[in-house]
Amino acid sequence: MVGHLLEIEELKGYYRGTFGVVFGVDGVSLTLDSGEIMGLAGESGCGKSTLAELVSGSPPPLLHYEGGKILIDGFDIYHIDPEVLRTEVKCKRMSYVPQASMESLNPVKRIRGFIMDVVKERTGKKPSREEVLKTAGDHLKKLGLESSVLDRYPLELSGGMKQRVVIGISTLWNPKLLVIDEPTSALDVTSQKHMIKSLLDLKQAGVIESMLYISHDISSLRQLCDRCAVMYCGKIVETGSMDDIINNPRHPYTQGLISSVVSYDPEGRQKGALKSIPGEHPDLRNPPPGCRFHPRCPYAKDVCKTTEPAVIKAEKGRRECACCLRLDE
Amino acid sequence: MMKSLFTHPFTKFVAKKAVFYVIVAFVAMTFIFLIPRLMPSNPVDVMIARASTSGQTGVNMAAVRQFYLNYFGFNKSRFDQYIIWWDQTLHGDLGLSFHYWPTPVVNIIMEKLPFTLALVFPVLVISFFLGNWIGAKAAYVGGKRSEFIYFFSVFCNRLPSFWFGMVLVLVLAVKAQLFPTYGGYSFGLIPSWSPTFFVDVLRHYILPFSALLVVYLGGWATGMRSMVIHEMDSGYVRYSEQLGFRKKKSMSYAERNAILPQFTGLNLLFNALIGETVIIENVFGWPGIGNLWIQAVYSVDYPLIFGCFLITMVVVILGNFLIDILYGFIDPRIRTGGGR
Amino acid sequence: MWELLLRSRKFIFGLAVVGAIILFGIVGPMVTRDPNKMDYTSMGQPPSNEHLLGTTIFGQDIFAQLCTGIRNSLIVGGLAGALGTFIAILFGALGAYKGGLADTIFSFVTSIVIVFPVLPLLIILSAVLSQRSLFLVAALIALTMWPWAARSIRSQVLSLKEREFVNLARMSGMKDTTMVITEVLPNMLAYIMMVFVLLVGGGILAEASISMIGLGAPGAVTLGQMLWWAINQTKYANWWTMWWWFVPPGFILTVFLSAVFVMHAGMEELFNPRLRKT
Repeated sequence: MVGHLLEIEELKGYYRGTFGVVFGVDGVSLTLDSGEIMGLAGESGCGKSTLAELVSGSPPPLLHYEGGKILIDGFDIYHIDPEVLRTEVKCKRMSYVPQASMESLNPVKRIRGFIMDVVKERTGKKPSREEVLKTAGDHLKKLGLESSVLDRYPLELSGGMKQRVVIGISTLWNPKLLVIDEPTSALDVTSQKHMIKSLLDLKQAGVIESMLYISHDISSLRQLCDRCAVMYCGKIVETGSMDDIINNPRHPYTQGLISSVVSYDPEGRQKGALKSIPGEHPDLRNPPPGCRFHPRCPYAKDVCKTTEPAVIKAEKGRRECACCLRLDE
Repeated sequence: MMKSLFTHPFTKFVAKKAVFYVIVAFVAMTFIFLIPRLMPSNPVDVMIARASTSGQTGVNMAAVRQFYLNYFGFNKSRFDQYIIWWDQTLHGDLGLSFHYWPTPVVNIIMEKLPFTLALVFPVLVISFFLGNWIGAKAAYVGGKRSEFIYFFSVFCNRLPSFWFGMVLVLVLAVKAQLFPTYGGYSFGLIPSWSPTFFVDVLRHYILPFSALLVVYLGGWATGMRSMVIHEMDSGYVRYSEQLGFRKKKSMSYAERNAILPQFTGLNLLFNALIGETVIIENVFGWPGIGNLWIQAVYSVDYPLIFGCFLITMVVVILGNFLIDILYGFIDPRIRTGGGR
Repeated sequence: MWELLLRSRKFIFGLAVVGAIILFGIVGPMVTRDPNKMDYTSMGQPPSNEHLLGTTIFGQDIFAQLCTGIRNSLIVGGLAGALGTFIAILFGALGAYKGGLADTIFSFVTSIVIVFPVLPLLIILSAVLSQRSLFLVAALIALTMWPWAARSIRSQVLSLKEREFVNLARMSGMKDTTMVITEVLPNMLAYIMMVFVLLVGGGILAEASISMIGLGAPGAVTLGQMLWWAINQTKYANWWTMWWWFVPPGFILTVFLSAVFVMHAGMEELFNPRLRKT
């Protein structure tokens, strides 16, 4: 049976605390197949990191899984025994690289110490030091890191190096799916380029099969991803191939997003000033009724204020758009 | 290899600390030097006057007076006094006690010092490890039990140790008759290395030890619990969970990081403990420096008073220095000289 | 700021208890008998209808002593706290704000004084000053407790220094001292309050400790003095036979210090966002 590697159906995840309830992810569905690099785009606060944390299987304390399904290689991660999740899914089938991954390394342990702990926790046995050093060292080389990195403490490494160490550790078991959250936002442009190249190399080398790449940076998404999903206000508004999204965006929000980005334009095709989307991203404690984008949508009609738009699928489900106005397309 | 030892960041750290504490010692010594010489009235006269009112007889007061005038150096210039005093002190000559004339102050102090150290160090070490362990465990279990431990620890920590000691005496020594009420060892016993003496001392030791321990346990438990809870939210703990660590292991990561800042509190707590031990000794009649010191104050025995303070400062400075070194060793950020 | 504070359960609870004790200390001595008056008919008696908390060996009413004791202890604590906070601001805020050499000197001095243990310092200073009054005791306590507070204030000022409004004020040519008083300190009011509250608590404990060993202000009735008198009457009877004498003062001390701690914890939760669970 050919199933999707990652299948998310009507996923809901809310933050609950003394501040009330934040509807971080409010009914999201998407699929990802083996071998694909899928991007997840959107503004800050739209819920893409929340989605990633839910997929990671270990959401932060205030984030609660509220409903829906996440199937990773057939495993329904919120309905299986946590021990199975820990031993079978994490790191083996799906691995997560958090945002600000520089903070993800234990400050008082050397890199090699941390890696040995990871191996020990995952395999249940204490690993042999030489084996770990050799395997880890070779693996880190793929990311452009010297094996001397293993002897260092995190504080002795630069931000970019720490990030690559984290990616290296997350990919030690060749996970089928790598979920990676905003790896380029803390880096300068040159480092960004290297990062993207490293990720592509990893895929090339067969270390990872597929990736869910979360970013607000359209240019990096463009360089890396085959397909892309656009999120807004806790929901997905459009999905499609990367080319389609860039060149032929259907949803008004996607259109606004694409046209607000400077792109390399040797033939001067981009005419006019950069357009930005008026207004601000709504507070997820109080999302607008009806279509969530209607307050900022240039095409909004009355019906948009009351009814949530249905998702329109095309091209055998590979192209989706959640806007009732695009019925004519 | 030797060169790298010298330029190693840890050596630099130790050297910096050593210099600092030498300066502190210098300030302390100067302070002790100045105090009697800046007093409103001549300390020697005060001591003699006190002695005559309590009717001390059988001693040649004039000779004693002359001795002390010489000792404090009131007949020489200030600067000469200062040099002589440094010389004396570094050679271990802290003068002769007035109350216990003519026993040297050093001898008296050295006799009593072990009793005080026997209270201070075990309380310090045990409260630190046990208290932090309790705090970490409380953070681990979470929920209502955690809250209960928290409030209980806060309460214990806010108890004045001397008053709690009195309560313990009332309940455990007087009512339950489990322990003796007073002293370091039973009346009539002569200090020796025999097991009987040891057991006797132990019986007298339990209550003052417990009074201090409970208060300090509460302090560490409260602090550690907060620190661990805070660390549990940090990036590296969450990432370790995402990698599939068992809860026990990721908690140990939080604890290992949480305990570092606890060490910085160890200095201040050590200093506070020294002070509290002085008071506790008074309540329990425990024959340590504290008790000696208080008796010296009552009998206006200035050489002994200043001698006790000097020894206290020595213990404090050495202790602080050692704790700083220990912390520097444990924190990899200092060991490698990396930025914080 | 006050609205925020009033929302903190811990702060309200702590403040309520502290307030109750303060009220006790203010009103109590006015309505009870003279704490020093000796009633020869009932000496060393346990609690009774006549004497709510019993009497001392000298026939003094303990309840009256408790009220006066609370008042005097609070006075000492309050004075010590105020003076200590003042010195701490001087050494912490001024130096940190000016930066450079001034800061190095101030923080160096602070580092040195902080090594001196409080109680031993108090002992030796009290020992050489034969005439001790409550004010003197408070002053001595302030002089030994300020370094810790100065350090806290300094780090707070350092972080505030980089903020926008300070730079703006600096550019308008304000003098440094004026700046500290008008711009920096008001924003630190919350923090200074926290420091003050802790110093008062610590001051009361220090006073009790020093009085416990007989180095307090003779003649004044404080909680510590009560404990000293209770424990030093072994000439007449063992002190533990009169539990009503030493249990109340220590108990009130514990309750007061716990309330201060809870107050401080409440304040910290509000003003130190790191600790918030949201």
